[in-house]
Amino acid sequence: MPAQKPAVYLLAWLACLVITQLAWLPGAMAADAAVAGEGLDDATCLSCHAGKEQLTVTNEDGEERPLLTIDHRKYIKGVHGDMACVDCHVEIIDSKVPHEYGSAPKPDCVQCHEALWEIAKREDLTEEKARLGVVVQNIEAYKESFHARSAPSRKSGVKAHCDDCHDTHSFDVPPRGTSKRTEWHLTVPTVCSKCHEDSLEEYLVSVHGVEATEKHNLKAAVCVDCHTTHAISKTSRDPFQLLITKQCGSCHEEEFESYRDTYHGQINTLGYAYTAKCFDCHGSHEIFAVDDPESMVHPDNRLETCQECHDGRKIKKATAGFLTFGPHANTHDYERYPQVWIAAKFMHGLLLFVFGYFWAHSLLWWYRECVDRCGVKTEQRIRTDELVGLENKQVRRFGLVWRIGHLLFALSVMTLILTGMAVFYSYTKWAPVVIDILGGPQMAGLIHRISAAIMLGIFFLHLIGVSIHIARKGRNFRWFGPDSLVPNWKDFKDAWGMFKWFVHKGEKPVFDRWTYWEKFDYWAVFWGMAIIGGSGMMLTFPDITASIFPGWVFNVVTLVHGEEAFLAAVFLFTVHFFNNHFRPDKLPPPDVVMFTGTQSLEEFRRDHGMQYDRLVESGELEKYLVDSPSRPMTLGSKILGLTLITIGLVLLVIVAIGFFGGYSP
Amino acid sequence: MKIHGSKYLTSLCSGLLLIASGAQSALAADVQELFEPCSVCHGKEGASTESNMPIIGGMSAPYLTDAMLAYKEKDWPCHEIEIPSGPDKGKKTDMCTIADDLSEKEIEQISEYLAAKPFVRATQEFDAGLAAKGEQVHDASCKKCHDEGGSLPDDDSGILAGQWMPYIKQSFEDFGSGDRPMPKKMKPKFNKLEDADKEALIHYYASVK
Ligand code: HEC
Ligand code: HEC
Repeated sequence: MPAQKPAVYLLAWLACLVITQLAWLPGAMAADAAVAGEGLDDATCLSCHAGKEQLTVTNEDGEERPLLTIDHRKYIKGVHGDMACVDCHVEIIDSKVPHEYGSAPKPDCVQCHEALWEIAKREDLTEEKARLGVVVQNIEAYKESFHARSAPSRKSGVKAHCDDCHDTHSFDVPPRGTSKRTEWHLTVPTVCSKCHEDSLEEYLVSVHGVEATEKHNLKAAVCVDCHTTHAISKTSRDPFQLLITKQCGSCHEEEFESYRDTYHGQINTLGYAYTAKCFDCHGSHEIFAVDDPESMVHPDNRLETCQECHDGRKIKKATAGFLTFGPHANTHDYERYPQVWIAAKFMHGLLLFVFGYFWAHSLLWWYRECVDRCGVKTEQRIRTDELVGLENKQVRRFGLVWRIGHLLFALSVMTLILTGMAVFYSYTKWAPVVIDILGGPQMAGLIHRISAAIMLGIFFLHLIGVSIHIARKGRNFRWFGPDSLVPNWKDFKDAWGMFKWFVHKGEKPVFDRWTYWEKFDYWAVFWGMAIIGGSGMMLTFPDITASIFPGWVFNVVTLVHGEEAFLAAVFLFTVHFFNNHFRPDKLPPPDVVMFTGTQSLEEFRRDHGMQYDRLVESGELEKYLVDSPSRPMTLGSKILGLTLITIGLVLLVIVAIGFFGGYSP
Repeated sequence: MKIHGSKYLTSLCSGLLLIASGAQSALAADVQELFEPCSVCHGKEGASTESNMPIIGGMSAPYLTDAMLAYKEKDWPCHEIEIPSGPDKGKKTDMCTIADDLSEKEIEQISEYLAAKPFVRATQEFDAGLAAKGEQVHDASCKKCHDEGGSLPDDDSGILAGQWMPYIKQSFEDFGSGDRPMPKKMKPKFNKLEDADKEALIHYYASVK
């Protein structure tokens, strides 16, 4: 028997060792502290560590330091309150002074919490222990953060470890919305300032600091509201600067919204950090109210602030005109931004009028044709006796130059819409993708400008061509004649007549060479060129614009440029497409007259009956008759037409996504 | 038919994968080649032995990438540099032109490559008295972002400890003149330095062992 005794002791000792080694494992966490060793209950620990006497200990490197003390009342209120000291401090195996340390590692928040979460997941308790999940999420974010980077000279080996910010012994974040939370929230700057003293100094005198620390305003931002709690990164890195901008926006919603409407904000929303962000103008810690002379955006300091970026190096130097630019201008505050308000009202009126009229026009037209087609077909056919020998002939409507002009115009306009709308609707999912594919905002901007040059070039060449044509004709040019695109009395009568026809109150008008909607399309381009082209030029050459106009002109011009472009895009891809490709008597699309230049006699007579009759009467029809386009020409034109229509409709869809979808952070 | 199609797809995919992995290893081999022209100035693995060329091996990848992109964008000054050796010896170039010839992908590759190399500190003569003063200045104003005497790549703030003195001096001049933009929080600290402080700092960084 006695021979067995040492073996029992050995086993017990081994068991003890195993338990001490494993005690820190969460599964064993609830184990009674007493098993970990004699005299290791909390009371024993507190007999020294409660701080009743001022005790000192000697460090490993021989320095004396005060003994760590624990406020037990705070401790038991904290989240770790029902754990015994040695549940975490598994390396403590005796109550001697000084302690002799076991071989178990020192407490490690990360390991312990990750293990606890693993167990919660295994036991399917993730819902009950959701807070543990949050901790693990925070740990993940922390691991990627700047604080987790190495700092060999520090004890923890990293820039900041959990317990540098969290007092692990009294750790207790009160629930949101309670007054306790207010108090807790306001302690954050003190915690961060343990390392970031300078930043605290700047912060305390700022609006945020005064509101938070002096006025106890819970809404006022403390460090973590901008820097995040755990994902803290170096502020010089782009992704983090973008994140901070969003963080500002999460409180300053209205300012963020108006910022996003400016070029600064649009580029930022696309995910690029090189345009002005909140802190570039307002400062980061040293933020003051606008009317405070200390503020970077105070009228006396503002120009200097603009010149931080607009410094005359890569971009032209900011001039006095910049002061009247509204970096947060909106369309609803007449008092502050009257020009923008007026411009917005005008543009909205224009949009409503144009779409109201033309969409009604298209819908009614579609309705009327449908009615006709469902009922008895009354469409008159061309008398075949007129057309003997003309089976392979078509009528020439557009010359080669016109057609090339139209094609280049269409392509440049589509490119402009794609690149422009990606900035206008920078908050959509598709916009950053498009900009990325194009090689970034600067490259997209270059493409936009080149397309604009092509578009404007074609427009001016056309103007020159038309002027020469009119000059040649001299007095013989009939301004209001059938070949002129100038609107005449008949156009107004036709427009009225069409509406009457739509509602079965009259015959369908018979048109001459140019219908009124074709004339509208033509003149709309002039308006568009003046408005979009003009505003676009002003934005392309901001220095010249700024030297002539006050800064608010940029707000107005940006708004007008975008909204007019929206008008043009939606008009082209709905009304223009309907009138020329999708109205029932044109189906199936495409109508290739703009690519082949010719159309069938039947179509010509139906759409331009008056011109047809006139030409037949004067015997001039012959002059316009050409051979039907070859099969490859027709096929090519159809493919081209369908391609353009498809691109147009895709553009329409993405514009619609931008229009109906809003910003989501 | 369906099975056939998916088989076809699988082989296509694995083919693509093969090509991709082949390309990957080709790229890896390329990094050294990419760095070849740099080493004429920056030395083997970026451990420059020329006092007027900065040591760049061992700096962190984000710092190096940002630096190269800044040159590409001409945000950093484009000093004229004379090629010190090799077939193009004596020809003039500058970092902006050099960076502009690289794609962003290539820049990232070079950065990763260099970050994995050690930062080999230059041995240079310094004044111990000035170095001691420099340490004080450093600890008071610069330590926060250039920890451990400016030797931590992980700070993403370049490496100052053991960097060639003429290069540090030149970057001080570039920061001072505004030719090289400073991180927002470094600016006020740096602008407060006296010329003597800067001199002391240069000796301090040379002294860090
Ligand atoms: C002709 C010599 C020369 C060549 C070749 C050269 N560099 Fe440089 N590099 C310099 C000099 C000199 C500087 C210091 C800044 C200056 O004078 O513009 C510098 C600066 C740098 C810096 C910034 C260092 C810092 O501490 O911020 C990086 C990064 C760099 N070079 C990377 C490269 C890479 C990568 C290549 C090859 C693709 C390269 N250099 C080729 C001479 C050269
Ligand atoms: C708030 C952080 C911060 C502080 C404070 C700071 N720096 Fe920097 N420093 C940086 C960062 C980030 C970089 C690299 C990015 C850059 O150059 O744009 C840098 C770059 C440098 C460089 C260029 C390194 C190279 O290889 O080209 C020098 C030199 C420098 N700092 C010196 C100083 C000195 C001297 C001080 C103190 C007076 C100081 N810094 C304070 C953040 C800081």
